[in-house]
Amino acid sequence: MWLAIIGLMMGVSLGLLTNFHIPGQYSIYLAVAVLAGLNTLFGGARAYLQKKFNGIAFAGGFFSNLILAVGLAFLGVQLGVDLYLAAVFALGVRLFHHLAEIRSQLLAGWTSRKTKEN
Amino acid sequence: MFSSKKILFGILACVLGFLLTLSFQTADHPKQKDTRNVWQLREALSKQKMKTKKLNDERHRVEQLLAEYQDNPNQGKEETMKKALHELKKQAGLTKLSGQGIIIHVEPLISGSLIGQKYHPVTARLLQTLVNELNSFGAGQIAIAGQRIIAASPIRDVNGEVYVNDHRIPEVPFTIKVLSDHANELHNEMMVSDSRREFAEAKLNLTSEAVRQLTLPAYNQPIFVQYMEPVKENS
Repeated sequence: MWLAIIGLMMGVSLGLLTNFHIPGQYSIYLAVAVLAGLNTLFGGARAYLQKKFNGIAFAGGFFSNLILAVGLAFLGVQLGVDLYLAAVFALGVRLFHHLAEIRSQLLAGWTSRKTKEN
Repeated sequence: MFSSKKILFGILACVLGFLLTLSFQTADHPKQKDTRNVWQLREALSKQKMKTKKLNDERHRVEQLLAEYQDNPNQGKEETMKKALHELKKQAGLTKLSGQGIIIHVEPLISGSLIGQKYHPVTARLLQTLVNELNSFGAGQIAIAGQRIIAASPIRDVNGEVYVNDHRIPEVPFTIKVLSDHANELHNEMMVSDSRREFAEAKLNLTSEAVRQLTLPAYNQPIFVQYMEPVKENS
């Protein structure tokens, strides 16, 4: 948990310090990439809580999601259709799904601890 | 120390943080290309140099004042303060000013009796354009038909009449007096100015003459300052 937060802060400071700018027309790719990253992070946390975490699947999932989402966005730009919306929709739905699972896992852990104490 | 799972999480969080920062930076400040050419850059540089010079002059003046305050601890203090007050009043336009400058005559372009029209109206917009242009030509102090223009002077149309400093400007002809250290240059620039053309479109003629000595009246009304208040010493 702490390592993830430290990593996030490192990433933010790296972004601020490098003062790297991406041209406005690529902001869609960036947004989709952020969504893919968030999705992977939430998926990883869920798998970790369910004790099904697999490092290779985690990293592989991130890259495959990223490639597919950015690829869809690219294809959409070439065809003139907002195909990136498909990626946004799919990743967004999965994000909420992961969150619901994490919440239920945490709640289950908390209630089982409570019953043990009593 | 850390398991590989945690390290993986950390790396991904780092990547995510980086991407997030990038997207915020892209959304907040779209990077604009500097498309100025060499001449525009030179112009900008010379403008900044002028600004620096102005600020340095101002600093020098204030430092001199400070030195005067410090050199004369008691008896000279009042004198220095009076001098500073007078200087400030002069800057604000509350004193009469004399010096070289130009006199601009605003007259009808065509005699009224020829076209059967007696009245040639001057509009506030015309006068505002003229004042702006005079300022851009480096004019010092300006008085329109005996009304001294200061930083807070309004020029506006009220029921078809032009009011400067809440005083009605008389019908043409009237004169505009402008103080300037470079009277001849200002006169030449006025002769080819846009204002002259705009006045001509309103059937008014602008003629200017450079004079060695002219006197501007003082601004004689209270100045209403709406958005400033004195700083309390302890605040």
